[in-house]
Parts: sequence; C-alpha cells; structure tokens
Amino acid sequence: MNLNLELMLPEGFLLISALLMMVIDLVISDRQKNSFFSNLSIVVIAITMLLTSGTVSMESNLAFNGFIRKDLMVVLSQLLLLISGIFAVLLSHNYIEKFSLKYKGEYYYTLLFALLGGMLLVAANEFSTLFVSLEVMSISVYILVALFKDDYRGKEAALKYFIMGSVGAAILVYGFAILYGLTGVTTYDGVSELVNKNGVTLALLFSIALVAVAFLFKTGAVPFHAWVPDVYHGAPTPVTAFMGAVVKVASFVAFLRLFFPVFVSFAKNWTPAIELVAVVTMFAGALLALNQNNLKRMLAYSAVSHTGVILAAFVTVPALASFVVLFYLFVYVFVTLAAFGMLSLLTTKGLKGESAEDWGGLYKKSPFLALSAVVIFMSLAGIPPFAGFWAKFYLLTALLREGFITLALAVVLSSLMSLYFYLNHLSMPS
Amino acid sequence: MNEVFFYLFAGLSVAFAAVAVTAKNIIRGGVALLGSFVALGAVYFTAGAEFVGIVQVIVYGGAIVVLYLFALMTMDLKKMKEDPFRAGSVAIGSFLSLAVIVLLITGGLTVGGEVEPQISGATEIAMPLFYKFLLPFEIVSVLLLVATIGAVAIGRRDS
Repeated sequence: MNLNLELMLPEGFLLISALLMMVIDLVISDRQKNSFFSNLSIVVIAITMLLTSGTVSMESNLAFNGFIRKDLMVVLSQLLLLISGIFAVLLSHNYIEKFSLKYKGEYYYTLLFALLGGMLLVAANEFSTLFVSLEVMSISVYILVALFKDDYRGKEAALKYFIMGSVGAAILVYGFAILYGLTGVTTYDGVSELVNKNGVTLALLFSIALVAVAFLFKTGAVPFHAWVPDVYHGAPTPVTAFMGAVVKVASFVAFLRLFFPVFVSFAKNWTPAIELVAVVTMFAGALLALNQNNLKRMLAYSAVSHTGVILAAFVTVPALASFVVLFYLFVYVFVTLAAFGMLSLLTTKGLKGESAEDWGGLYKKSPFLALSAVVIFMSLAGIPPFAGFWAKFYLLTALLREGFITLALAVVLSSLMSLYFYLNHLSMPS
Repeated sequence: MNEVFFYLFAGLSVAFAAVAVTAKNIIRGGVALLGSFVALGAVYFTAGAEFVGIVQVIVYGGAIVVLYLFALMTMDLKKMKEDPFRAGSVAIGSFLSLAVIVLLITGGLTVGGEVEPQISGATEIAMPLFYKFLLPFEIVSVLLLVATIGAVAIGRRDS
C-alpha cells in the first residue's frame, strides 16, 4: 500500500488545525472570539498555503493508493482556493462585528472544513473520494449560510441550497454507480482504461450525462441555475463571496479533471451538449441580470453568465481547456471576491444597502469606493485594461484556434449584453 | 439441517411481515416488523453470511424499528385507526409487489449458477474499507463531524 502521506501534509495540517480550533472554542471568552479566530484562521490558511507550495512539482504524484493525484494544476487551484479563503475570513471579521452571530468559533472552523473539502475535491482521483469531499465542502457551506442569528433570509437560502444540492449529489452518485457497474473500478485511471477498451455505449453516455448534470448543478449552469440567485442573495455577504469563489473553483476544477483525463477519448460525444449548455447559460444569465434591482441578485446572475463562458472553454479539450479554465477562474475569483467584498464593506459600514437606488451618489460619500466599483464592474464585463478582459481574451483565442467561431461570437455578444447591466448600476442618479 | 432452518426462518419472516402490514394496532405492527427483521437476520446466518446477519439485527432490528416506534409514539394514533385497505392503495400496492416478484423470479432464473460465498464475512468488508478505501472513509468521518456541529449550531433553540 502506497500512502505517500507527505503529499497530504497541507490537508492534514488544515484538518488538525480546524479540529484544534474546536477545542480552543470551548475555553476562550465570547468577547475575544471574533478577532482571535479570524487571526488564527488567517495564520492557519497561510501556513497551509506554504505547505501546499512545498508540494508543487511538474510531474503528477499519487497518494493513498492513487486516490489522490497532485500535479501542477491541482496545486495551483488549491492555492487559489486558500487565497479565496483568506479573503473570505477578512470579510467575515467586520461582518460578524456588525451582525450578531452566536457561533463565532463554529463559523471559522466550518469555513476551514469547507476549504479542506475543496482542496480534497480538486485533488480527488477516484469517485468515492470525489463524492465525499464534495459533500464536506457543500455541507460546510450550507451551515455557513444558515449560521447567523435571526437571519431568516439566510436560513431559507440554506434550506433551498441544501435540498437542491442533495438532489445534485444524488444524481452524481447515480452516475458513478452506473460507471462502476460498467467498469468495476472507481479510480480515474482504471475507469479511463476500461472505458477506452470497451468503447462508447448508451449506458456509458447516460452515466456521463448524469455526472455532468451534477457538476452543472454545482457550478450553477442553466437549466440547473434556479438556486443561484436565491442562495447568493440570501446568504450573508462574506459567505456569498466564499461560495462564489471557493465552491465555483473547486467544482470547475473537479469537473475538468474528471472529464479531461477520463472521458477525453470520446470528447466529440459530449462536447456538443456542453457547448449548448454554455451558450444557453451565458445568454440566460445576462438576460436575467438585466432587470435585477438587488445588487446581490444581479451579481448572482452575472455569475451564472460567467459559468456559461467558462463552460465554453471546456469544448477545447484536450488542447487548451485546462490552461484557459484555470486562468479564467484565477481572474474570476479575485473579481468576484472584490465585488462581494465591496458589498459587504458597504453594508457593514452602513454606507449603502443592496438595492440599486442606494447606490446613487456613492461618489460623493466615498470617491475611492465608487472608483473601485467602476474597476470591478468593468473587469467583470471584460473591458480591455482590466484582468477580466485578459481572461476572456485567452478564452476567445483558444476558441478561435480550435475553430469554434460561433461559440466565440456568443461569448462576445453575452459580454456586451452584460455590459449594459453593469453600467446601468454604475449610472444610478443620486 | 441448515436448510430446514433456512426455510423455517424465511417463512417466519414472511409471516411476521404479513402481520406487520395487516395489524390494526400500529404498535403491534411495529413489533411484528421487528420480528420479521430478526428472522431475516437468522436467514442470513443460515446462508453463511454472519456479518450481514449481525448488521441486519443491529441496524434494522435495533435502530430502525426503534426509530419507527419513536416516530409512531409522537403521532396521534387515534386518527390512524381508519381502515387502511382502500381500493386505490391496495391496487397500487399489489401491482408494485407483483412487479417486484416477477422481476425477482425472472432474475433468479436467468442469473442462476453458483454464487461466490466469500463476500459476506467481516474480513471481506473490513479489508476494502480500512485498506483500499481508507481516505474516503476518513473523509466521511470529517463529514459526519461537520454535519453534527452544523445540526447542533443551527437547530439549538436560543435561550
């Protein structure tokens, strides 16, 4: 048995720290909890980042009998998850100061458990590991959404998210069960080998469709996007930022890592479906965002639209997909954290609310924040000097090089449509 | 000798199950269900699957029947006294059971052959669980911990 435990050092450290925090939570006084645990969480995540950087290597390494695979893409996306975790903790501190939360310790270590689930999810190289780490992440996030006191909107959002997420998880397991029935193994390598040998059958395509549906659920693609606006809107804003960054990155990377090595040999059978979902998602997200008065809902629909754009990059497997998706996610994470972070800042400072009318005259109160809002929204829309443009630029280049001209046109059109609602929010009269 | 016990317990299990469905007193039905589960556990023992038999008695006979009885005690039983044998539910129930029986018989006839006996012991279950699937098993323990914390933190009534 080849455990290769030193490869799992970052995850192990994160797990043990979170468990220790549960014990410390019992002895510390309630007044100090918020500052203490937010500082401790940042230190823990920073050390985990250092340890994770130590596992960087150009070749792929296996741990736990091949149940975990760590290559460059995995380590980079793990670092991305951890950075988002640090930002989410920073946002949470002020939010908890302002709004009452009875379970401060629980909040912080549940956040760490969610990060642990995300880290394992991107590194998973086997079906049951993938499923249980996805559940660790999801259940931690359900808890984070519902944890604030007297926050009925949050509790409603958590219940919706929980029910939808459980259905998604059930569909995922159903797909895995059929795949296991077809091949008799659960590791990616074994399944990929046997699938290549046996050829494409109807049962195989059915199981792949189920697995894809589950991931589309998690990433919030149309027609499985119904939970996104309600949950993004209802959740406490730092948790929304966490969901928008960590859950999205982890689900997309796991999605890509499952479909890229395992099902890539018959990519032409499933890329048309992904292509269709991508186009529908990017336009539906942009259209639905047009009429949103609440800023969080608007950002949620824009997240749906971005999901469509990222999915469009999936059709370029095997050539460019990994690079393009990872780079897009890298940019998207920072812009999303900035957008929701600004909302959180404005609500905790009591400057502005979430509805569009409140935004009029922001420049007079705080010119710096108003200018940041311009930068963030322009970056989300993909206007040239900002990072969002470069993400879309590489994506379009990849699409054009592989000859997906209509898809590239769709990406450009949906970006233009999204520009309307971003600008609309910026031009609110005071 | 083993076969005698096999058919004896199988018959007992079916008989208890019939009582569980038809009993007018719902507590009596629950106890009959317990009898059916324990008899089924004995059937597993006679078939040579000790571990499955033990799990059957502990999980179904212990936990699940107790859960049923607890749930029944929280309900208002007087309202449940009405006749359960309405035409619609009998029709749906018998159709489903008939379909399952047909499936089982055709399945049993087509599969046939010898079944591998070495899949039911404690070792055969422990080896994959604690050796090959060690990592998912450990992550499940984290999952249960997180879920417990969340359930307590969200569900606790504020004083």
